[in-house]
Amino acid sequence: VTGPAEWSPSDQERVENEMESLSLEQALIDFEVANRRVVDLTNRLVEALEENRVLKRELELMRVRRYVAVRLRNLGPVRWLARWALGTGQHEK
Amino acid sequence: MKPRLLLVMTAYNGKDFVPRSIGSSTRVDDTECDVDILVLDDCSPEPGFSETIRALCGSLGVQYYRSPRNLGIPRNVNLGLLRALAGGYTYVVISNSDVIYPANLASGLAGVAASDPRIGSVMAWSNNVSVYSLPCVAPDEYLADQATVDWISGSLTAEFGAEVVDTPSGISFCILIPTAALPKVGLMDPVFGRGYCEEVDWSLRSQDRGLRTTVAPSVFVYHMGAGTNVGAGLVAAGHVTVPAHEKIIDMRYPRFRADLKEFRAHNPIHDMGDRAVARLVRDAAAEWGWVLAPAPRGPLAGDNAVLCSLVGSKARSAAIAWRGFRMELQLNGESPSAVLTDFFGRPQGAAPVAQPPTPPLRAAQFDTIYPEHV
Repeated sequence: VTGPAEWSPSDQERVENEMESLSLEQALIDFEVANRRVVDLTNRLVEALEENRVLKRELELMRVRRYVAVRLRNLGPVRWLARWALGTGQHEK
Repeated sequence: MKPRLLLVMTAYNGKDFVPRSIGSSTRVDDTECDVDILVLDDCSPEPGFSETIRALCGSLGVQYYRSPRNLGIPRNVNLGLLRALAGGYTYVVISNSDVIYPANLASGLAGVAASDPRIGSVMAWSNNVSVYSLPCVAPDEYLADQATVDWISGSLTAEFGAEVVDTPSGISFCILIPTAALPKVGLMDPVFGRGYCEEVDWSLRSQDRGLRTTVAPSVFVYHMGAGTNVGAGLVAAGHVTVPAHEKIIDMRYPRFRADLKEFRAHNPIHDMGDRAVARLVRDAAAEWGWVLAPAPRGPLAGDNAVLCSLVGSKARSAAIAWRGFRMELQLNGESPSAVLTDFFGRPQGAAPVAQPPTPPLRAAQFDTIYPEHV
């Protein structure tokens, strides 16, 4: 243990130099890790966006199918087909 | 040859309390371990702070380093861990700088760590250490002085010896890590930015590698607490943590919250707390005496005696209080005075006051420089 009597400014300077060296080396490692994480996360983001786009399209399709199925059930085939054949394009509220 | 221990104190501003913590660190007993102290100033912006701390450290033989840029707690802590590895230390203690250490810090924590090679970390016990706290009313008023912390820790050492309790996670307000664990577990993850939850992540990672996360009830450290972190902008006002960091923990360790809930339901720290308070009030009564007051009251200035009062109109129990620690003793219809005399092992009244020990060299030096912190 170095007590106050033996502690000198050169000791403090040595500690600071050692810490500077450790800090710089670790900062470079942290930078590499952070960079790898950014690359990895960017790739995952691209994949997630593509998956999101596909799922959104599937969801829209399912919504349309469900809407059509409900209309067919509620309006009855004849009335619905008549409207469809007339091509009014108007949906009943 | 004694094991070597590096006590690393991370600091970010705090002129009012950091010198007190440094002074306290110089009193840590080095009979069981060779103790070196390193203060890591994370580029504190408070005017004059770094110059003052650097000068204080220089005069006390305490190592000091100020980062040229603010790193945040995880990366600042990592500097301490790396320094311990590079310097060949056996143990490293990572600590906040709003604490008061007991004299038995090194021997107590290192003693527990040496008892089992599977121990990856040992926390000190404290008035403020999240769910693992030893509850104390108004700790800043009652506990924030060196003699009290030394006395409490000594009393708890007599009660708990080398006992150790496993916990779901560690809190780095004051935690010892055997340096041998670092290559297995790694450093704190900088993904936690300016800090909070990095030690939870580290301790859960260490458990995944078969290491134990523990608390040593025989070592009591006073911890001022999170108010300093709100001031420093680490957490938002009204928060005690960083929600975004908690989400990272939830993602990485889906079982952690359930483990914590389970621990809280059967919290062994509560039982230890009951034992601890019973021991503290008994030891305090042996040293300073006890009084049965007609009604509950706070301690008077310089009053170290244990205060007892009867609870409720039928006086079924007695409330016992000493320096913010409280417990209740059932009287079972017997005379309060007789039950309390039996509990304390001595009759009501004052006891002779013990003389404080002589401080070690560095501590004496600190007392001269900073008399207001003694």
